[in-house]
Amino acid sequence: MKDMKIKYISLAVFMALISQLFMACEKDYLEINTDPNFPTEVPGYVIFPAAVMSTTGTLSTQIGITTGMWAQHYTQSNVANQFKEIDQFNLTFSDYDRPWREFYSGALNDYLAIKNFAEADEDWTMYLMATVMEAYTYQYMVDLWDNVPYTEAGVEFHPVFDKGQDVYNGLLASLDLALSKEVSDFPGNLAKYDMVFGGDISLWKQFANTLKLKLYMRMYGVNESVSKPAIEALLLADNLLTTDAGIVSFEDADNQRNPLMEYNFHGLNTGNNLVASKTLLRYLQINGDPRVEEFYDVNNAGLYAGLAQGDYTNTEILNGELSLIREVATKPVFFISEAECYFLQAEAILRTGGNPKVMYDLAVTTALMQYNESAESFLESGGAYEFPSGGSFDEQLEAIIQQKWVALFQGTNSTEAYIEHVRTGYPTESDLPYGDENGYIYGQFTYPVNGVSSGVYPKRLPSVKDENQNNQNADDLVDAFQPVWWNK
Amino acid sequence: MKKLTLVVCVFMLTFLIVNAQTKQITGTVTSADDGLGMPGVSVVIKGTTVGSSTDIDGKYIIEAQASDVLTFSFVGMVTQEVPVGDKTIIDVVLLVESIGVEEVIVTAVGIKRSEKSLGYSATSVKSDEFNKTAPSNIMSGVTGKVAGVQISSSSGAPGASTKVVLRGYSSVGGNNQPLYVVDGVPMNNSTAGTGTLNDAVDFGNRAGDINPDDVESMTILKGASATALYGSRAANGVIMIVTKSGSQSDKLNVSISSSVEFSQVANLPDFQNEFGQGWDAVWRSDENGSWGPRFDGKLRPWGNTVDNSQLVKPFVAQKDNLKDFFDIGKTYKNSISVSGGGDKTTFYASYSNVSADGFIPTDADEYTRNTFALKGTHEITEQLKISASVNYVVKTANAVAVGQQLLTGGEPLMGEIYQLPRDFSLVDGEDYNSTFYNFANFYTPYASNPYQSIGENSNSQRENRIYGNVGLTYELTPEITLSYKLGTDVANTHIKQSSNAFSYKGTNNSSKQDLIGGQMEKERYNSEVNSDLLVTFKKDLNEDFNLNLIAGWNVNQRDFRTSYILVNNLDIPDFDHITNSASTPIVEYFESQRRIYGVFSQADIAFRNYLFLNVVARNDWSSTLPSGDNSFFYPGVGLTFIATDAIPELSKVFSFAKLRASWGKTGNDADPYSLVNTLAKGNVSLGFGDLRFPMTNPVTGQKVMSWEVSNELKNPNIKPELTTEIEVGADLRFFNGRLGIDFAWYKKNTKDQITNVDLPSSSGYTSRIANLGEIQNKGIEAALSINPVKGKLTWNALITFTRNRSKVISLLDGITKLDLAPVNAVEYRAEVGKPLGVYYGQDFERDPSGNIVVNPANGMPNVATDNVYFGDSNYDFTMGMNNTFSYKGFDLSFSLDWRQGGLMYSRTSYYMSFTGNGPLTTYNDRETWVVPGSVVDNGDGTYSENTTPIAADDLDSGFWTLPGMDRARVVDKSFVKLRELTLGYTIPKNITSKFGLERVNLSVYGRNLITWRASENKFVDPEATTFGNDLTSEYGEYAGMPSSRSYGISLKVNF
Repeated sequence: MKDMKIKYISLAVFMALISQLFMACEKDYLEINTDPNFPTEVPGYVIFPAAVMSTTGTLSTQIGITTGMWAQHYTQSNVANQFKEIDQFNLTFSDYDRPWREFYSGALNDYLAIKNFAEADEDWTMYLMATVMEAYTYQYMVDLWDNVPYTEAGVEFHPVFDKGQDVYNGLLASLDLALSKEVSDFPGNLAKYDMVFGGDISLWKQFANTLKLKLYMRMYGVNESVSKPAIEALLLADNLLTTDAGIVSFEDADNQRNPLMEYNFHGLNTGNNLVASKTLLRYLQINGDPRVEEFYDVNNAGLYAGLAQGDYTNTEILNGELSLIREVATKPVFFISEAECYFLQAEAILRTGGNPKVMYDLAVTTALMQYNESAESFLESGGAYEFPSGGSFDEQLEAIIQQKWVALFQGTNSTEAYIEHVRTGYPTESDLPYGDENGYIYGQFTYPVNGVSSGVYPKRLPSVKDENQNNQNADDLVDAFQPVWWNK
Repeated sequence: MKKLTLVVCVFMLTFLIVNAQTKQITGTVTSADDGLGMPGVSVVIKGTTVGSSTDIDGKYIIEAQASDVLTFSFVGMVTQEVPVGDKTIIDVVLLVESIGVEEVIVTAVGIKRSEKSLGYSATSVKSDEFNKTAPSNIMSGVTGKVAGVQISSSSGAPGASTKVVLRGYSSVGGNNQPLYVVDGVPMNNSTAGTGTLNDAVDFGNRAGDINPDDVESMTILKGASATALYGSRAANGVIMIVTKSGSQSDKLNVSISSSVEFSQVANLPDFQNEFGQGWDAVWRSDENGSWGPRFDGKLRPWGNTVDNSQLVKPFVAQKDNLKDFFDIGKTYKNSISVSGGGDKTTFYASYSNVSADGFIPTDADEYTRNTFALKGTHEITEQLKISASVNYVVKTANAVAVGQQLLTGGEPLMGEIYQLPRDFSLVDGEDYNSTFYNFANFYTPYASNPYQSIGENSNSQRENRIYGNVGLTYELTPEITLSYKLGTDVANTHIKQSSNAFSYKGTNNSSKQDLIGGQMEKERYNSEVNSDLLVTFKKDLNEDFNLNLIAGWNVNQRDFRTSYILVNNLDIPDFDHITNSASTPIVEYFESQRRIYGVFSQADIAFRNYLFLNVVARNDWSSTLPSGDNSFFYPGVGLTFIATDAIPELSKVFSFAKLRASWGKTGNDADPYSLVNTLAKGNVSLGFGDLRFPMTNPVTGQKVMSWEVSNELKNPNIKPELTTEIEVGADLRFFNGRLGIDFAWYKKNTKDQITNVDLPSSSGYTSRIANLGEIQNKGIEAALSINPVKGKLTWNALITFTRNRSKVISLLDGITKLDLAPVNAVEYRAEVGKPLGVYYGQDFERDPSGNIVVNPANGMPNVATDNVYFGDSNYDFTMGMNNTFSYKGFDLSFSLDWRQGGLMYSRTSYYMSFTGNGPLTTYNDRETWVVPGSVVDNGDGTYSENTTPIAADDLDSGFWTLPGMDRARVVDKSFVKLRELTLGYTIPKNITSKFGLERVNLSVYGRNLITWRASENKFVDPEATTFGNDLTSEYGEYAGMPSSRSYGISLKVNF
């Protein structure tokens, strides 16, 4: 009897267990695969700041350092060697894998996602902001790499490469489309998501127009018939930037600093890689330009001293005898500075047959004002930077671009300085070594001491091997000495 | 009294005399096998040499006394002893000596089956085998002892990970470690450390938590048909662990085992001892390398000048400077268990403690593990039994980081050590606060004092873990049994990493970047709940057929949670706390949950006990797969034929012959959350340093958080990864089992690998989750057991041989290779048509005839544009050789582990080239030379001989670390290791029993005593890895920890 009892109890227990288990069969028992760790959908404006910082950080660090060296703003110091290959013009196809990757998977994919959300929501304000940043990012990619994936980028697993010219045309069309839409200011509570203008949409329109102007100027040499009327129209409409577009300041805290500062001083082991190049330093010194103090630090002796471009094997100069570039954690990164916008207009006026002096003077004044310095003595008659009003077209263009080259020191802007050099040939490339006695003029480029390219300057960045290897539709690899489309 | 004694004596004597009378005894000896008379059986009076033997019919005659004992013996039969007494006819039936085929093996889901009937290879290893050298980690005692199993330790650090790979790597993206099942319940085998370039800290894997003394036996199930019942988690094989239990007797068993072990650093790199500190052949007292002049023995002042004084050293090599730096490691291991039971109850309780301090000076490498186990069974009625088992593990560990850098900013030890010049005496810097050895005045800014590296950086782990189960078995009828088991495994881990801050500003080393210091705290929680319900049906259908059916229902849930805080820029010196900083900490949190349920069934049909058919099937439903398509099915079938039972005539040749064949499927589901795209925290990786959100909006001044589209594209259509395996094998034994061969051939194909496939970043993503292609592993396994000498002296030998060939059959359409390298050094790929894990790297440019093309300007080789193929990381074959000699109470055994072929990446090799510390760097006495056979490119498609020697200032690291030297970073990882050497003595029972002891065994042992490395490996232990314990670990090491050799003594007492 007792046994029977236990038998029934046991059976009951098992039946209970079984029923318990079969409850697991319920349909939602396995429906637990929603990731609790990351959001799956957020509004476009939440994505925008990270995308903008990707553009900012990527242009300011490895690319910024490369172009800053090639623009001869600074050079590899002789007591370190992190960037010596850049100064040698000795680059490999895998050197720019990272910035390429960050552009596409850190910035452009996000702009595309924001545009898609915005289009669906008919949020044309957000649409314009994302379009401008997207166009700005692509513009540098084309200027640095010529043909890049554009129409299929972010859409296909293996996007085809579009011709640089087609990308430019696409960017202009996208800016026109975005500008044609009805936009309004950002709601105040969302202003914080606009790291550039704090939600002021009128400034985004100016940024868009200025960017259009820049694109047309870039292609002027190969496409004058299209560019010229477009430039004239933009000048006439006069809705261009009168303020700096960019990240106007950073915080001095970990992972929050000016990206070049974060990279070169905090990320790297040694902070003494980048020193003043004699090319720019002597130019500033000879002209008594006060910006020397903003660009460089004094050496251990309290003086400013530069190294010949690319002379990192110099054994006579000791540690502490050179001026490092002056890096400040809070320093801004400009996409297009106010001064750059004026320099651009000065050239536009020159090219469309006007007199650029007023705009040139405004540009130089603004460039110095950026550091709270006055340009008056430089611009007055006989001043070091006086506009050559009576000079030839080339002399006037050289004056504009030479001053633009100085104004675009460091960060994103040095990329513009280098590209403008490639486009216009200013500052001039000299065959002479530094020194007044043999006719060398300070401010001209000299071929780097340890250069390996037989006197030839790079015209772009080498193609990206990472993309080439992973993308079945990638173009063939091209080295740094082939011109991009607008330079042919 | 005397009288009485005398009387007794006389009585005894009389008795003896009476009994001493001899008589004739006759009889017949027959075999139990066939009942026929056995000729040639020796019949001996015990303790004498007097004897006879049986005739052709098995008959014998012998003269013996009533007090004698007759011994009947014959090769291969069980010896019998029969007291004569008053008998005159003694017939004896001799039994065939057991050759181990009747053993019962625990197979999947805890089902016991006779080994004889298994259609697949299942190797069982007993406690004595894996506890020979008293290892702390159960798997390290099995190394080389089982064919088809590759077991490696990542380093010689205490508590280091042990990697187990059964029949090769079959999953490129998933997990390749076997499933560990303890008493029928799966256990968590994750690692709490990290196998990444930065922050590489090895705290061991969780299978290492098992106290080897608690384990009765371990069965290794390799093939898919063996493991199909475990479904989606058993694709890499199963290690079934059965723990000890008490017996249903009143007797109380107590067993104690203790060991003391000393370990010593082993397999350090080879060094050159000809050239000393400096660079460019010039003595420089602040250089971190040995590119200086040849040693001349002269006294030289060196290092920084502090308070107008400087150190002086003779310029000679410190040949043993590294060996001297390392300590003797010590491991103490103690365990005690008590077991017993009553009529209806059994219990087993144990406690063990392992305390180890490794060979690195200080307590930077320490490991302490305490385990408590309690297990019991009770029969409530004859039909109803309950059982329960609980294990509690408390573990603490300190580990020294390897790799490149710590998250908290500190510098890992080995990378610093390898940079010190050959004339630097490490031990002189032990007091790293002393004037010339502190961070401010250390002689070089390019490396730091290794004592500082271990003294000012720390990594520690604390873990509490409980695993166990409760079970119920109910015999419904004699044929039908119901059983239920609920198991769990819960672990809580805390990991802490600290690096102190140093500012070098204003010091002699001011050119060095400040160490900002940091503190990291990580909490990890893992839990697993597993429920199994089984119904067993057993019936003898008729005389010929037996049937055994099992049906089961399994539910499994696994949870993981981790939180993490990192803060840099520590403020107050020596205060290792997360609050000690003005910086904003980085905070992360991650959790995941996954569930599986499955139904499974197994049918065993036996025909006349010599033909066995086994059919298994399981269907799983997984939470990690797309909800409409989350069901997957694994069948398996096995056929076994015992030839010697079916065809008795075969017994003339074989003492046992079994043929087996099986086919089965297993699989892997996806990781949780692989289906739906998510966003990622806004983070811009700059290359050096990051920009991280939240950031401040510079216009509005507000803090803003931002998210970005994740770079990993998920896949809503993911399918399970399926492995199909076919296996055939034979188990043949000869000479009554004294020679045995167990052989298996298998072919295993894994399809639809779930992995991350690289995408070009222009797609907007850098990778996507996909089902990709197929990987095949096929191979042979053989185990040869020999018992050449038997008797007082016994010699047993076991030789295992394994050859596995992996091949990547296909990847995705259009993709021919997949990047597997954990670091950006030499390439490591899965490539179609090649074995899994091939190395590619940069080579020198070569002309069409293969000559090195150099730059005519400096005589230095140019780098080729395309990377070249170096080879793969797989062994060609592995062999284990185990020998045991027993004589009386003595036991001598040794085991050799031979692994041939395969390559590994070695960062240590790079350090040896970079610093000029390696012997290779003394090439041509460091005099200048022309690259042999080199040519220069004439630019018109022709090449001419190069005559330009390498410039003097490039003869140092300039040449030896040229990018085209990648092949020198990849070395042959072949080796032979003397894994174990043991001499044991078991005190005879007649002595021990006087002290009330059952068994006393004393052993001295050595582990990993000798390693013979391949000649091109002058750098590291060929098993070393920095990259965890899965496929990426095969890549190699990044300034990894050296291995150790150890010596110990152990005492085991049972009473």
